Amino acid sequence: MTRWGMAIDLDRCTGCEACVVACAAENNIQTVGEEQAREGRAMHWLRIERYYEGEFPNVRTRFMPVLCQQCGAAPCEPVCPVYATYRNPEGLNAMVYSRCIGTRFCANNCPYTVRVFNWFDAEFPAPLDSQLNPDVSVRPGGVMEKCTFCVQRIQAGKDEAAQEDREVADGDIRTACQQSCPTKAITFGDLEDPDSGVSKWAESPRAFSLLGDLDTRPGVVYLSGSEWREPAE
Amino acid sequence: MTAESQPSAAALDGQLLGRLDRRRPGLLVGSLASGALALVFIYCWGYQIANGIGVTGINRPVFWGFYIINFVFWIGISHAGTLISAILRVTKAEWRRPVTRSAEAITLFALAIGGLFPLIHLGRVAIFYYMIPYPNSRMLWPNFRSPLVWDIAAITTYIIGSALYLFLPLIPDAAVMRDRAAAGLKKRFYAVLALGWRGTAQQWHSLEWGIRILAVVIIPVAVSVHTIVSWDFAMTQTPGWKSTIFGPYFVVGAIFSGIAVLMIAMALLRRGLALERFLTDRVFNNLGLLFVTMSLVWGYFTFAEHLTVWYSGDLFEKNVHHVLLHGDFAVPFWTMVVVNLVIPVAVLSFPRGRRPLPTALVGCGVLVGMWLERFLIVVPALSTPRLAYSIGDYMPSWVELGIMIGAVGVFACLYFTFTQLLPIVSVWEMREGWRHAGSGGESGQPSEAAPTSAAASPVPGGGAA
Amino acid sequence: MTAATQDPLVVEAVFERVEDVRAVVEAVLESGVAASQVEVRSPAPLEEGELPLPKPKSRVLLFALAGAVLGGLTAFGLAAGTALAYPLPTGGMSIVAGPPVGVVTYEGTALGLILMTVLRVLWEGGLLPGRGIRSGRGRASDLDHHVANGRLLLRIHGLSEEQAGRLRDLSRASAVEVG
Repeated sequence: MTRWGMAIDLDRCTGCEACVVACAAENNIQTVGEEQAREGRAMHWLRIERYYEGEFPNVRTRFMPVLCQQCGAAPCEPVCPVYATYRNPEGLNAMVYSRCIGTRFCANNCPYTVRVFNWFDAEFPAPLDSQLNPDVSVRPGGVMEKCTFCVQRIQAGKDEAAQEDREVADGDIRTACQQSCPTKAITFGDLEDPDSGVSKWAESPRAFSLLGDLDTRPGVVYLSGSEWREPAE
Repeated sequence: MTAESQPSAAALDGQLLGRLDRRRPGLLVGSLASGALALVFIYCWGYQIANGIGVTGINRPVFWGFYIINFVFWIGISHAGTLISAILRVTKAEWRRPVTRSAEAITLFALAIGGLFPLIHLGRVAIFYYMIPYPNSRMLWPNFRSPLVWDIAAITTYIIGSALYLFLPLIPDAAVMRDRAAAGLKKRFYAVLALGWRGTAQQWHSLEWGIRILAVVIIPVAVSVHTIVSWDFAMTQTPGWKSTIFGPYFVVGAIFSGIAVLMIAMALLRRGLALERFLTDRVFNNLGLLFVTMSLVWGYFTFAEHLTVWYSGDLFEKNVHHVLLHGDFAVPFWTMVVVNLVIPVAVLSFPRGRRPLPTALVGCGVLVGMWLERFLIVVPALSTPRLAYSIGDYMPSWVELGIMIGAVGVFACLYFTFTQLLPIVSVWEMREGWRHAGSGGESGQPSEAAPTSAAASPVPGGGAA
Repeated sequence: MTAATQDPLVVEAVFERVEDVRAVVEAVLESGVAASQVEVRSPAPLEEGELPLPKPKSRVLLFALAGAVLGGLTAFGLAAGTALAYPLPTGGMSIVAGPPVGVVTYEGTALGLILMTVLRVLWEGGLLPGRGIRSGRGRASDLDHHVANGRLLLRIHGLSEEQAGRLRDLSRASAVEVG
């Protein structure tokens, strides 16, 4: 069995947000505009949280890319009344947009606050419409969405491997955020495969899970060498 | 045609029936005015459906806002009818007779509106039926693990139950209206409602059995409904929501707000329908005592909830706790404590405070306080998520305000229309009460007594039922 | 509508007081008319034993309990059975969980009980559409407005011409109106 997972090395992260842009481009994420963003309706599936330590001028900034943790025991799943979000056999918290009726219960029960909602129908005014990814559906208004671990890329990788009559090799599938990270802070692969890159990162003594004591069993592992393991209060 | 007519019985009935026959322009004006307010509701909801749920003020992380607050609020109001009517019927309190019908109507209409709010709240209301279990081409069933599906089960049961609980005792009165109406549309309307009721011994016997059973069953249903509503929150792991106390806390809060509505409704009924003889000062005194007890119980639950959170020292829980007691939400929080606890205890502890006007005013305050309580449950917990980076804010839009105010209009419109069409005081139950009270003769009819004294005799609580 | 009241074999009389009804009913029963032929319509339920007539029977409670069982089983089937009938991939999470099934069963039990209670009440009272009205019982009468106004209506069915005439005379003594 496969369990897709991701490891993010916070010590490498520079907070450049290239991953955020890549994610939006890859996944047809709505650009909501300044006004809506100010109301707290920006739709990034991946955000870089910034936490500042110390007093000016001796300030240190820490960056924390937060995306759907693809939990093994996801709090969002049982509360959905229509099975719009469920756990697929490869360990992804899948979103079925066509089932979603927009109760937003899942988002309330997400301890990471990573779910985003389509408050209005998506608009992609020209020329944005010509850069839409044909492998990803554009979500209608009133529907919840979140990071999919670039499930379309996972599917493409599996298809390619099947055509070439081989198993999916580690590194075949790269998520958009991983691909665009200039410091290679993100790695992606199968956590069940002990030889995969992500498994090796996950075994690092620097590895920890975000809000790990909730026992949501995230599929995302963070690495940090500093004492700071949890976001500041 | 030999009968010596019995003026007393006729006069008593005449008083009651006369009220039904009388044209009441005030009610019509009320219907129309609240109907206009109901249009605001319809316009705002239509606007939201046309433009998307984004016309509200909700955002990330405050994904739930006014709609859920009002949902919980109205479901709480609906406990008025269950309380007065079911509990008082089960305990056979005589003074229930003039108020059961109006309380049951409050329940039904408040539930109808409360039940609408989760739909208004949906991102895609057009496919709300995905939550209902029925064989379908999607090969999908609802997720019974979701508290929202429990909500559907509970509220469906409650709304059907309270509609039937209102309807059963209404059948004989619909027959009264039918038999007194001149032939025509009006008569046919009541004939449909009366279902062919004639008042035979068998019909009465079966009806009494039915009412008795429903009165008993509707109580655990009401308790379960508000418990399940609380589980929409308590079953999550959101700080400020996950709490074992929420089930009973919500039930107590619902009964508390139910009594508040009841106090207001009874004070209005007493004045409007001149029911001083039935809704005596003693009734208000007793209900006032119950009211202040509920206030204290509510205060106790609130204290217990916040003390355990504060003492635990849990970082995330304390964040929510802090914004409530000292932070952005301190003003509504302490307002709530004042109107829900301080004022009721200060006023209702004294016999003079347990008279109709003061209890009704305290009731108004408690309604505000209980609305604030639901606001303080929904918003602070959501706006203070675990990851501090996502801390948010919430301000309702005009659409949400319009729907909230419009809903009051819908409720009032339904209520006024109901009062216009059907007896708001149960005719047959009053007659039964007179029979019980007129204990002089074996006949049970309030025989010789003059109409006024006969009407005065059914002392509340002194029934031989 | 008025056919029943004009039927010579039905005698109707309106009374103001229960004791007048009782006196007439007693006399009627003595004259050999069966209790099953006597029907009394009242504006409010009468106390047990106020009239010398057999106590009506009701099986509402029995049906209510049956409804509870039926509703509970249906809800249990819905909550537990359908999830199995339409299994969805849940990644190892249980698809049928105990507490939700319990909650839904609880509500279903109450709903079944309520529905069956009401249906049975309507059935026993002959209030369901399509339920035949036997032997003129429960049929509308021209005198029903008296009941609406708080009086009692005595109807005696299936009489012979001679009995009917005698009864009319008997009732006239105390009745408000005889039909």
